Amino acid sequence: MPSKETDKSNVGADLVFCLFLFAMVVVFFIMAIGYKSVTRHAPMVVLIPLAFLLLLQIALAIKKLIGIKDSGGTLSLQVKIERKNLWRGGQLFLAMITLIIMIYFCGQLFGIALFLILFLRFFSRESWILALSLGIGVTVGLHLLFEKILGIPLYPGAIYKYVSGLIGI
Amino acid sequence: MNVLDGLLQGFTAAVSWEVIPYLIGGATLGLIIGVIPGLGGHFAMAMLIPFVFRMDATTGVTFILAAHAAVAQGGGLTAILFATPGTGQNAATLLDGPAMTEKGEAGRAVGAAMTACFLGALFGAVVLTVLLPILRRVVLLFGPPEFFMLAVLALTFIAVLGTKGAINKGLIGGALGLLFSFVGAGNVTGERRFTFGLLELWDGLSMVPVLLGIFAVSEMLDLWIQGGALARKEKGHDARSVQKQIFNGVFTTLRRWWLVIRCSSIGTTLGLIPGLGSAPAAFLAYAHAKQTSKTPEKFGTGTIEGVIAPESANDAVEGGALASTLAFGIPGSSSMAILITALIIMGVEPGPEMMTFHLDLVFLMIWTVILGNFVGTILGILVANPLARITFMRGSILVPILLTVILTGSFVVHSSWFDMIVALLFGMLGYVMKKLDYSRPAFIIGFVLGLMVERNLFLSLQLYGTRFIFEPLALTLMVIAILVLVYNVHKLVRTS
Repeated sequence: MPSKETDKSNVGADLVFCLFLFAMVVVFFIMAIGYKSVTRHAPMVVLIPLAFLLLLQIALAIKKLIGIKDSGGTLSLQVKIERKNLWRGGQLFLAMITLIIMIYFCGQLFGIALFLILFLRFFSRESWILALSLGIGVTVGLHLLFEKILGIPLYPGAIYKYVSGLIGI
Repeated sequence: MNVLDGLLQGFTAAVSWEVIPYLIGGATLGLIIGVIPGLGGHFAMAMLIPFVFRMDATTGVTFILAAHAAVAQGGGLTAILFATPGTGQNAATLLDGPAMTEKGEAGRAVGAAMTACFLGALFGAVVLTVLLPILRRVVLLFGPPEFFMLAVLALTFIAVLGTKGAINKGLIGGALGLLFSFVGAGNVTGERRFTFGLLELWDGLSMVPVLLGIFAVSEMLDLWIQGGALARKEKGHDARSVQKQIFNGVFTTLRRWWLVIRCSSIGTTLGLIPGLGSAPAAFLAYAHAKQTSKTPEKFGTGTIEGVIAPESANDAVEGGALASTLAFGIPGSSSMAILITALIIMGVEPGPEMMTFHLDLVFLMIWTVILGNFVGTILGILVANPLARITFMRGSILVPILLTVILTGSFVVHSSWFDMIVALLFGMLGYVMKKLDYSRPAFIIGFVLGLMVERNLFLSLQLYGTRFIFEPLALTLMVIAILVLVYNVHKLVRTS
């Protein structure tokens, strides 16, 4: 059964999410006004009801928050478990950004191998043997699947491009 | 091409040497993904989308649909052996499957579930085949106003029926999906919209990274945040005894053919209604089986009818869902929206033209549903025990591996770095939507339908002006949409 704190946190998060979406809808609306009449027809048909739906959702969330406050709860939106989840989610988000940067510099195959080995060893705390075997195994699998079977070339990486340009490959 | 020619050509294509490896490969992948709790049919299809864009329509459709067909079987396996539904649609199997396992009849339940799945899919496919000639005529009654209203009706159904009481959130999900589909050059004038000066957005948001973000990256985020192994309970199963019982389960299901047909009919009928999906069909079939049983008191304590009923309804849904997807180009579920994306990537436009010019492909899909389920059943029966062990893989190992595949998949479609960022951002959006109960299927269906909605709205306005909503069929569809909305809002207000 969800606790009062978790409910409160969800309602708060819902309110923040709706406000963010509403701000986005307002920006889109202002942009759409500047388009030709035919171009803005469909977006307007969606934007106007969407704005009303969001306002309704915001009103519902505020009403719920006031209800929780009246029933004796505090309005603090952060609870321990949410903080921990946020931290773990942030970790993975940063890991994905790192993966993209690694792929950019080292190429898809070497970047992925390096990322998997480091991630499995230091984030997931797996043994070196498992990290190395999975890192290399997955990379070989992706190479076979994309490049050999499907004939889709993978990105070789900025370093490879730079070095191959230098030595004239 | 007539229906009989299409039927034969579809079968010939489905069993050709070029297609068979994709059928088996797709079904195997689907079974594995289905076994993993939390990763459903839409995840399987989204993951496979990047692989199909270099394939021709025949192999691509077979690959992706075979995977989707086998997902429910994998999910049933986990539900029975570990009391953890592999996919949402297997939730009803939890009522009797684990109880049978407790009684030492795990193998019997697995055998029954696998066979029921296959028979359900077969029933759905047969019904779809019978419906095709009728659908071909019905489609001719539809013009731009009707298609526009049909899209609105489908989104309303999905928003209302697909969310647990949060109608507003379902509608917001659908509208958001539509809004994001308008990013990029306008479909009518070519004028650039909502691009924020970014060159990468001129062609709009690419479907593949958006799909992967909303369904795959968000699931990975959730899995990582939850931590631990995918299945939390482990019960001891003797591999040999399980295998022995499986065949008993198969024959028991065949003997209960009338129950299978009744529950499959429920599944197929509900599959025709956009947004309902497999889970309600499975529960309804379970309730029906209990009501009509001579021993209803045994339901919930581990009776085989309690496994056969939901599992046959589960897979029969696909026949109904495919009918509206292929004939009208209106996806009935998120998985069908992904199927439409795959078809568009491979140069095939679903909808009325498909029923005229690509009838062989339509029948290939029908055969794939049957054969994909057959392969899934055989594999599920043969490797039930080793497959079930996948559920003990730790999320901390699975997440980074799948993430590399997802991000590679996002990149390879257009060799675009921007697409990887899009997958990441939509992954975050998908995660927030999942946690706050906003409908992700409605979002994806809105996103996929955007082009169709805009084109038909434009044509309707050009042809009839704003009076297009008073065209008889369009007006009927609009009235149905309003009634569904009003009825559900009224019901919600009364219960709350």
